[in-house]
Amino acid sequence: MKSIYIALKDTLIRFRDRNGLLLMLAAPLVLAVICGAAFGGLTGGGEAASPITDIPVAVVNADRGEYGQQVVDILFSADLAKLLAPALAADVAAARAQVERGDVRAAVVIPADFSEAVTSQGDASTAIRVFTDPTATYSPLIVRSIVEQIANGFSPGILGGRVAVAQLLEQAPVLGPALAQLPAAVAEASGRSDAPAGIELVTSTVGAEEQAGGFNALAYFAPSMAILFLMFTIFEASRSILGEEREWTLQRMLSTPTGFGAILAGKIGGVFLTGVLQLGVLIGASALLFGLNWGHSLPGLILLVIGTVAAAASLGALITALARDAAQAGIIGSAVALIFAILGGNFLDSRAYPAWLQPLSKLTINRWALDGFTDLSMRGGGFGDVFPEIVVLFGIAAVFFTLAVWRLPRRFVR
Amino acid sequence: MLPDTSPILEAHDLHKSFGTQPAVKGVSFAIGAGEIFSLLGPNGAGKTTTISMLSCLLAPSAGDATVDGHSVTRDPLGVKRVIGVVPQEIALYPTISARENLVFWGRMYGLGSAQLQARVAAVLDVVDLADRAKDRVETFSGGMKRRLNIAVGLLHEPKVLFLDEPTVGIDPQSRRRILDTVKELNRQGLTVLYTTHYMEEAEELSHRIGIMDQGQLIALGTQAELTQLVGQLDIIHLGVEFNGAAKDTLATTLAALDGVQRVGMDDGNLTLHVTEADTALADIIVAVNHAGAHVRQLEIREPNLEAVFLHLTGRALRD
Amino acid sequence: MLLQTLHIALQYLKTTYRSRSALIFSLIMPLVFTGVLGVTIGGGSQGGEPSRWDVALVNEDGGVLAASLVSTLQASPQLAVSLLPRSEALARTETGDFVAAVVIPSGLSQALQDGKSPTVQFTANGSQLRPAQSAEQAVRAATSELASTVAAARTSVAVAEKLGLFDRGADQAAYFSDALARVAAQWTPARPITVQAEPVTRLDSADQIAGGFEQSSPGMLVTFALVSILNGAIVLIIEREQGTLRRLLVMPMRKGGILAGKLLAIFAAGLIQAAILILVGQLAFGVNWGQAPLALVLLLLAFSFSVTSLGMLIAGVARTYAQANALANILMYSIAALGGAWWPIEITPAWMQRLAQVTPTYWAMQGFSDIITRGLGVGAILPELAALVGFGVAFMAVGVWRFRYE
Ligand SMILES: Nc1ncnc2c1ncn2[C@@H]1O[C@H](COP(=O)(O)OP(=O)(O)OP(=O)(O)O)[C@@H](O)[C@H]1O
Ligand SMILES: [Mg+2]
Repeated sequence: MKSIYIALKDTLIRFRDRNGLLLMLAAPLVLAVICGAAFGGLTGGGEAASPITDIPVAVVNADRGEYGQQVVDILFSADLAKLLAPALAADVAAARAQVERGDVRAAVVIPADFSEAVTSQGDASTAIRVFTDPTATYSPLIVRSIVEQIANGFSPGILGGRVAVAQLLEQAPVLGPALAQLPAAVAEASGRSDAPAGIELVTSTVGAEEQAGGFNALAYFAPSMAILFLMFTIFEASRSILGEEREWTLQRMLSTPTGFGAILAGKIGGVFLTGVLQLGVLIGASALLFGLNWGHSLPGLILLVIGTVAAAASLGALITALARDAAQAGIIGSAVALIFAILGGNFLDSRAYPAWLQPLSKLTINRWALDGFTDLSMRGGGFGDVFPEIVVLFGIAAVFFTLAVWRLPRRFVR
Repeated sequence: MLPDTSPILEAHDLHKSFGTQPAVKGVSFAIGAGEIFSLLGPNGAGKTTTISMLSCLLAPSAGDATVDGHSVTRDPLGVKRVIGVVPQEIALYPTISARENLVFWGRMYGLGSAQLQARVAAVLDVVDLADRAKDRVETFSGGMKRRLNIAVGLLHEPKVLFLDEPTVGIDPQSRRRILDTVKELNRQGLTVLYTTHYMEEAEELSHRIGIMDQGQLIALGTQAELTQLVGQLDIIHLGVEFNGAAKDTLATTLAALDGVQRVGMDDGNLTLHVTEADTALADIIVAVNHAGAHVRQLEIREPNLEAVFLHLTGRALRD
Repeated sequence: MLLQTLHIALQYLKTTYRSRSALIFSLIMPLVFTGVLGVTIGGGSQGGEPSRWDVALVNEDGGVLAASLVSTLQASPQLAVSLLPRSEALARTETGDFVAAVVIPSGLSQALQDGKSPTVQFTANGSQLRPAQSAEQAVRAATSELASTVAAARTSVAVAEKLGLFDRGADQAAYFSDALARVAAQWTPARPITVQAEPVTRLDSADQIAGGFEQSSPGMLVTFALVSILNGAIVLIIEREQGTLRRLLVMPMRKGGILAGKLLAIFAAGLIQAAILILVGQLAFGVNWGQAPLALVLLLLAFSFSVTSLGMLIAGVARTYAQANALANILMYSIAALGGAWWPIEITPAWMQRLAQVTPTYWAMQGFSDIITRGLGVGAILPELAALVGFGVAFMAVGVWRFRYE
């Protein structure tokens, strides 16, 4: 009973602290929005949903012929208007300089002999050069792939022409005088780059919950930032028992007819209650403000919240038990929170981590919690999907809690 | 002095060491029901350590104590039910209101909801903070915090109240209020164990006083009994400006004078115990001037607790 | 006066770096963060070992062209392809075993031969969109190659038709297969139009290393210097609340001198943190920091100045420690993220890239990229320097103006 009053008192103190609330509630929401917006476009696959739009590209056309102009037209066409923001540059040097200054992500240079190569019946070949910005990672790849696709559009004509010549010359006996028409027919057939029959790539997405407004990255970063700031809150709250010792309120509690076990239970309970409320408010706020869908299983969500907070609170209690003093507990807490965050994927999608990092990532509470929450918020999973994570989190909580309640009372032996 | 009552608190040869460092070295005393008992001693004397053992916060390294028949080592819960503790620190939560603090501590003392409201109102009245009950404690003055600190210790109507230096660091007016409150509570029958390093407080409040120094109780009795230890000596207080004069040399010169029994020095404040103030005074002033120092202030007093402390330890009470 | 200012600064630095936690937060933490972010961002990007994305492939078409698409996909350096039945492929993509499933429907070969546009289904795992996007690029390259090959063969058929070859009894199907084989044979060695991509950098290509660390090393430098400096600025408020600032104020020196001493120390602590991060980047991750020392030093000074000023601004507007702490924490995370310290800024939407320009971190990141990735010198970072100094002067002016000593 007294434990409950201690837990309520601690929760009251924490939620009375306006600046503390900024860090507990406002910070994770703000950061989730920033990260969500940054990765926001990465939904559903396909170019339309590509996060990268309006890539600034400089175009230099050194070719005087008709086909160079065709390439320019394609680059400036409405089809690519979303993806590219092209502009003509005077010459190669100017375009390179623009890339070097970072004004454009890439420069496309159509060589002087381009049209000649397209129309040549011989083995003439030429190269479109793409100068890329080395500081950018994705947009140069995209520009390059677009230019390659354009180049491929010319290739069938040229190659087709060449192959036709070779094949039909072998058929000379059959064709007879008709062979005389060969050059004209080849010229007509090749050079036609207008959309040869292609293979259409139909893209779709599975395993991700459809989020209103397509703001899907938020479904990752809202739980992610909530977990990060939950850890901060919990480690901060956990060491408050050491603060109470310094301020003598712990001694005062001990001078009342209240057992140490009840006090300890109350302190850890307060941490737990604070954490559950924080996560609850963050989940509610992100649902209300951004329309984030937290999945189909309310029991799953609730157990996940409880498991996450229990695991973090137990670790917080263990840190408190082992630290020399409140200051050291603070330092260890921040360090653990940050290391767990980076390993657990709170800043970047942990599923993109290289294989050797995965086991390390799975050593953190953050990773299991995040996997669980994103099962719900991104993949629209049900109870069965988050059950393994719930089990692991409760397991972590049990281990840390046992260690903590074994070590913690020793701190306070008199 | 109270009529002879049976003791409500008895300390038997209490010891406490922190590591190898002894802090309390064998303290024994008894407090009668309805008595105000003061432990007077300088910083580090072991007052807080003693109170902590009596309130079951520290386990004695040796010895035992009983409060209202409960042993601090064997029945701490029984002890805790009958004592109210007011720690030397202001053990309150600054960011919640006075009332919220009191309600919380009332719960810790096991008060039920029905009792709680009445007791909170009552103790707020006792310390005269009813009108500030809704305000956060952090907005209180030092004196108000001290009073609220006391109020918490009164919530469960204890039989014995431990007050550990409850007037440290506050203005004279607030101190006055607190002393009056303590007297009033005692008048209503509360037994009080009071620690302080202000001898005036001990003198004013206490029925009996224990003087502590370096972990030991070096004297115990009523104020009258204690001052008799000094004997029929006069006390001369001198305020001295040294102007660069050697302090140690002056002290030895003074101690060597006829009729001077003891010399205590606390910066510019000299305390001398002399057999006869009238005859010794002239020599003393000459000696001071001779040393190149200069007397600013002079006072002749009856022996007091300060004198007792000086007499027993050769050091001034305040360091 | 100046001596006292320096003394105050030294005092601060001593207390900061004497504590053991300095080692954790100034060295170990940046090392871990730079490493993890670097390998993650670096995955599948320029330079280094390209990552292979796990893709499930379903081939429901028995034809030659489908088979050739399968082998092209299998040969792709970006993909690790597993051939599976449709149901299993989709199920395991949904659970996240594969970043995407590619389904070649039956009839693809025939449709291509007939000059129709068949479809290939690309089903991405919704929670692995970034790798899925990379995989999609690779699949598009393969399908466009096949389509072009078929188109070339069809061009040859068209010419033959024009000359009336098939009217004279030749077998069109055999002719088509022959054309296809010839095109395929020519495709790889002698593509008539190639695309050559090259990065514009003054660095020798030998100096080019995996792209991830070139983002994460300056990114974490910016982040940790920011943390160090803003936490330092909070100390100003702690000192005000504890009254130690007042104790300094009664000493015979001007208020400005005291503040200058504190700010100098905070500034220097930021530079020390930056220097540690540069060593970490250079020694542990092989980032080429030593390209243009003068430009680097100028940029570090300008960046530290602008962030110190931001700290002063916080100290100026915050009334209490708790307020300053909340403000500083939210600010340092937000502007680090916005400014592009945590991921390449190019992936963010255009409006965010414009918004980023109001943060000093953005300009610092741009400058660092100019130096370590583009290999440029002082001339190239003048705009960045100007922006940083501009922010610095503005923040500092407001901060000092608003700051209360007690
Ligand atoms: N937890 C502890 N660990 C180690 N030493 C301690 C501890 N608590 C007290 N001491 C030491 O025990 C001695 C007595 O301390 P105590 O606090 O009891 O003195 P006090 O009479 O209450 O002094 P003050 O008037 O300053 O409150 C001191 O030397 C002190 O340093
Ligand atoms: Mg004490």
